[in-house]
Amino acid sequence: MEDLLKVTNIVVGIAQNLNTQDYLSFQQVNKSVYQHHLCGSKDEKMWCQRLVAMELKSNRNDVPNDVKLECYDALTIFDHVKAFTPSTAKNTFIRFYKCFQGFTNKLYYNDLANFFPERYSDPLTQAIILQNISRYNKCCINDFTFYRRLQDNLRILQELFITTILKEMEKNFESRNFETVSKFIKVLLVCHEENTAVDFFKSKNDFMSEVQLPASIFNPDTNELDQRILKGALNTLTNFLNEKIKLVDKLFGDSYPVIINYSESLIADNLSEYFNSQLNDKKDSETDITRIDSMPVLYTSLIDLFVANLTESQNGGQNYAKVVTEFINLYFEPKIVSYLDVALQKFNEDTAAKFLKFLDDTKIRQKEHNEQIYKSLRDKVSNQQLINEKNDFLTSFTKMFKISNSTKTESKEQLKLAYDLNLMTSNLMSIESLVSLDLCYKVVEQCRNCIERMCTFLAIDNIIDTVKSKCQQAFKILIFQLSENHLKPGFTKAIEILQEYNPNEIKNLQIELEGLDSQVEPLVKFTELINTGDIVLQMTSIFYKNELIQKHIIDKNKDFLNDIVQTKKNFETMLDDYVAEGLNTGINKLMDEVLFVFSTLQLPDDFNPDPKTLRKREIKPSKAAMKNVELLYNHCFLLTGATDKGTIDVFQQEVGERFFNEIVKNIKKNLISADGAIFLICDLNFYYDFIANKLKQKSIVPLFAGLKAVGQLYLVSSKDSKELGKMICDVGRFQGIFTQEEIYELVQRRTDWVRVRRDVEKVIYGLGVSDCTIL
Amino acid sequence: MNNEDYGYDYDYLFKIVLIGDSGVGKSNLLSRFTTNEFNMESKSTIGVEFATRTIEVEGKKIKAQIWDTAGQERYRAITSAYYRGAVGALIVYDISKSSSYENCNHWLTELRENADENVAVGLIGNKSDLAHLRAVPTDEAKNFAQENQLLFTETSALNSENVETAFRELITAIYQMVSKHQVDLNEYGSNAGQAPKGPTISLTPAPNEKTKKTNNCC
Repeated sequence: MEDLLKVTNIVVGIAQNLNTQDYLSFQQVNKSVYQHHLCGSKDEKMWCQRLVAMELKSNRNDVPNDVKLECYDALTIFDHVKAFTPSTAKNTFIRFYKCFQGFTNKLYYNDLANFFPERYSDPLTQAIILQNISRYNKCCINDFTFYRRLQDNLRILQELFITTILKEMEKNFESRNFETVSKFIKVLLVCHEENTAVDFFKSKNDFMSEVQLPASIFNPDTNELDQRILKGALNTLTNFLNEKIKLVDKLFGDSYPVIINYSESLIADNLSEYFNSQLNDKKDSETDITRIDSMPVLYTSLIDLFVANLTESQNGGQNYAKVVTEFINLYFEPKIVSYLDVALQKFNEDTAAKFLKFLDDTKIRQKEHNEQIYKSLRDKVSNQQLINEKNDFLTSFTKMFKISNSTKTESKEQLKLAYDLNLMTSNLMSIESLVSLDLCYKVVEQCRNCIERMCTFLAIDNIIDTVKSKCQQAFKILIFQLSENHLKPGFTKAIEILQEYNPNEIKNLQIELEGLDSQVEPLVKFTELINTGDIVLQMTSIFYKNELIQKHIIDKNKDFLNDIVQTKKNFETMLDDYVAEGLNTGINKLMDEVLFVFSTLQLPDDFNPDPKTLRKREIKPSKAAMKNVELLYNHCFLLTGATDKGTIDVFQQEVGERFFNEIVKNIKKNLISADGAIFLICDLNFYYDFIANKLKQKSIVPLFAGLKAVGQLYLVSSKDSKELGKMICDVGRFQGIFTQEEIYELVQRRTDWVRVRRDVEKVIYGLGVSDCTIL
Repeated sequence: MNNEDYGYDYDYLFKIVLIGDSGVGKSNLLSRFTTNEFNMESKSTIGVEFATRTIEVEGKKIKAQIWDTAGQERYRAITSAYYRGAVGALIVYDISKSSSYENCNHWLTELRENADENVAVGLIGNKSDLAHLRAVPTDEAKNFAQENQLLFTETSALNSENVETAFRELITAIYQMVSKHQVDLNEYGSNAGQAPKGPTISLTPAPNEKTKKTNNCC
């Protein structure tokens, strides 16, 4: 056994696990132990370890220490002695030993009565000494049983101490002796009893028992937010918290941020609970939807009326208001997110209902109108007015269709036809009411409001992405509703009316009333619709730029593949398709009209005049030419400003090309004499002038230049029939527009064709067909 | 009253043709005279264009129906159709382009071959504003005109110089010839309502209001 103590490692190992007193005893076990193992540097090391355990710093260099060591006691020694050198370690430790060993001994024997000498009667001093004792005790933490006994007893002592303090505090708080309370709070904080301090504060400042908030901030009938009541409630809240802020500053100063903790509990437990119960009335879901709609106002009011009016808090620090805002954001987030959902759903449903109502209203109006037409016409029939009074349009109409009006059945047929035609005209009148710009504008406004309200919550970092995505969804809903529930049905109906339109029928019916109209009415209306569609499109584009891009809901650079851009493009494509389809139909109708004009106004002697009247005739465009150019003029520029230049160009070029074809057909229908040629040339010049100088569509100008050259075929005198043949072969002359076959076909419209044919064919074929004889 | 159907706003209707090389300014002379317009970027005329202007000569309203022809027309059959019935012609050249002046002889020949023998003809040296580029001396052209009994004027369609004068002189000359011929016609007792035969076929006095209109109806 004795041999064990000869081994340095064993001795040092033992020594390291001993408390101070035991270590001193162990040094004295025998000379050998002391001299060989526990003196000099090895001893120094032991003391160093103790001091380090007490959180003192070990310095290699000597620290000049002039202060009189006797001045230090258990209260102050840790403030003054913070470092040591190995050589002074033992002496330094002795100083601490002197201060604390008395307390430690008492603790060890649980001798707690009169623990503190009289000079340490102040609770704060006692608190600090208790903390210092605990720190000193660490010097023998290696003797764990010993150390734990000390600490356990110290804890019991401290608990007794805290209980006493709390009792005193409560007494003083009741008597509003806040200065004293503040002192006790400092004691608690020194004892690391922050939670006890906070709990004490909370228990003494209970929101529920101090404040009464209004039973409801909503109008019970409309479920709309009553701003006045809300303002009052927020005012109460603000006053309450401001009072607490001041109290906390008085009690805690800036020593422990209790106000943060207190505010969080207030917001989490009281505020959010109160407003949640206000929003969820549990009466029915509709009420809840109406109420939650007030979320943006509620949130803004919380920030503007509550947070903004909080007094500065020394305890909460400079960022106190920001912290409160963040708590509000955090605890109201679930309600806000559900608001975003509800708002979108509401916008979608509202808009759909609006457009549906519009469709229904239009249907009802149309039906009423139709019934009115029928009734007034039927009255006329039954009164024999239709027949006897020779109603203007019906008699003309009767003439047109050669219906004798002698029998009842026939008059019924007339009635049916008149009704149908009247229906058509009234449909034309209402075509623009198929798409209501006013309604579109309202819906766009509603979307703007919806997004603006949702953007209230862009201030909340946590849900920025959610808010942005909801705003994007609102835009998508807008586009969907505009296209699916309004523009689509509108355009479909408009195109239907356009397709059903028969200009001749309408004209015949109205011919005596208004004379010949130079407009294809449904096409004019359709272009108005295109214009409306374009305005709606532009509204959505402006909306996209102003609401989504400018408010950074969409990043133009990052989100170009975003489906919202796709939605926007699809909308444009849909409109373009309708425009194309409608214009195509419209051009057909316009050409029907052109054909109608050629058939009715192009007179046989226009290009084949009686030589007797020839000398009286001025050279100017024929009525048919003027009417048709007027017709084209009235329709070609309707689209200007209504849609993009590309569409307008395509439209005008198509009209020009189709018109060209109608002119060629018209030439083939007429006979042209050499004297009449100049009138045809004049018409063709007139057409050319319109295309080249008014329509200004360069690509189709050659067609009309070709027509001018065709006109000259008829000018040539029959005496020059051979040169006529040469001209027909000179294909380059006709701008490459006509083949020789076509020219040959056209030249046959000469009144003297029979006479010139032989010579012409000789030039073309080498010999004329008329030269052939069957042998 | 609608003049189109029931009466005429003029006493005489004269057909006048503008001929000359391509690019000498025929179309702009015409537009300057009839609408007082000038087009810097005017393109080659395709076929034939028409314009009218009514002026008063010796108290009579004369409607000039002017045919503006394409200078590059190659088919005689077509040019001859242009000349058909013309009572006046202006042969136009460009004073800065001698070839256009040299071709005047050709134009005159073609005109004489195809038009009425009494056709009144004026020689026009156009583009007088391009004096610094002049290639055709005024005196030379004047002599050519005198030799061929042509009226002669130098004009600028660009700055309007002499345009009005040139047309007026021609129309006045036609009028004087027509009024003389009409006396001749009346002496022969021809029926004014019928298309007159021979050289007078194109000298078409319009029926003077209703009194003459009754004459025309047979």
